[in-house]
Amino acid sequence: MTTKLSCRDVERLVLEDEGHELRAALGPLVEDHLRGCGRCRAFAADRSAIREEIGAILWPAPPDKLVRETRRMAFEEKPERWADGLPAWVLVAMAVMTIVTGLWLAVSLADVTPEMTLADVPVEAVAAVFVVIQNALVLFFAPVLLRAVRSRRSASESAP
Amino acid sequence: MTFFDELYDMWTPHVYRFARALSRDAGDAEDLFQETWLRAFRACSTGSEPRPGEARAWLFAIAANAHKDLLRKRRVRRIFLLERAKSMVERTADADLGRDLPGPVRDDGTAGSDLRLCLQNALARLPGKERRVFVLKDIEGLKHEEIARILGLPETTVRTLLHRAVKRLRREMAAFRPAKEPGPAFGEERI
Repeated sequence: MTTKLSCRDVERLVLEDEGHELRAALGPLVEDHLRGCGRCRAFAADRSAIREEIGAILWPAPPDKLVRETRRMAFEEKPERWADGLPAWVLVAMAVMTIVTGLWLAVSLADVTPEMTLADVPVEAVAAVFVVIQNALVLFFAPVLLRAVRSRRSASESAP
Repeated sequence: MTFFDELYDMWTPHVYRFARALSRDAGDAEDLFQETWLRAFRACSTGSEPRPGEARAWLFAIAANAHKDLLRKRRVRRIFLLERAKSMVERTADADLGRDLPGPVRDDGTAGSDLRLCLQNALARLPGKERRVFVLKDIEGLKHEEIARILGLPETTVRTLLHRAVKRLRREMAAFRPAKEPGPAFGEERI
């Protein structure tokens, strides 16, 4: 019984078989298929043309200035943590505020049920939802806005 | 000389080539190159150095992750800072052949083939994952299992992504095939 390879198998083998070892091992099967299938012959020829052309690209060497600058940046960079430079009392205050806010949110939202309309929701609960949404928006947009501001500032500084 | 210095001196050209091949232009490649080495330096200073003989794979993994982050940041910025119009302009500029891509120059200094230029532009337009797999395979010459380890993907996924990348590049090559169809494919000799 002869096993026939599908076009998909042959395409995979061609991609796999960079050193042609596999094709040598499965030789007759692949060669038979390639002889009878123009589509796979085209695939194999295109694949080798792509490899040849991409392999012939001469990539430029890194600019000396970039190499020097990157090494300097690496050694001058100080490991930064978000809490660096903050006094201990600020950290404690932030932790306390986080806990208090969490408790306030839990209490304010405890009475809210899915059946309630907006008019029935207590003012504290609306305030809590507002705080949640505001925090989510700040967390989401702050990095993007900060980056935009920084890049605008550095662009204006570097302008003559 | 520190371990980082040795690593830097030995692998700088490789990391730069990888960054150039992954990036659309020289500016992006330089950003990626710097980010890769800064991350490598941080890792070295916290004791997460590569094991002997694995420096290249380690650096490529860092570069691939940095590339992924770069693309993700760009996507977020494009969506939320309404840069769509700007990106459309960029895409149009990308379509112009030879947009600040490494020049396909032969050893003798003459310009490379149009096909090569077309492939380079097509490579720059591949989706990030496919581009990373293709560059590691065809430009860096790594094996599927090495690519899978570097990118943290299953080997089957690497094969699929490579297959997709080659298919996309073949579509770009269509213009270079002989007009008469069906006929032998590009690169195949007519008998």
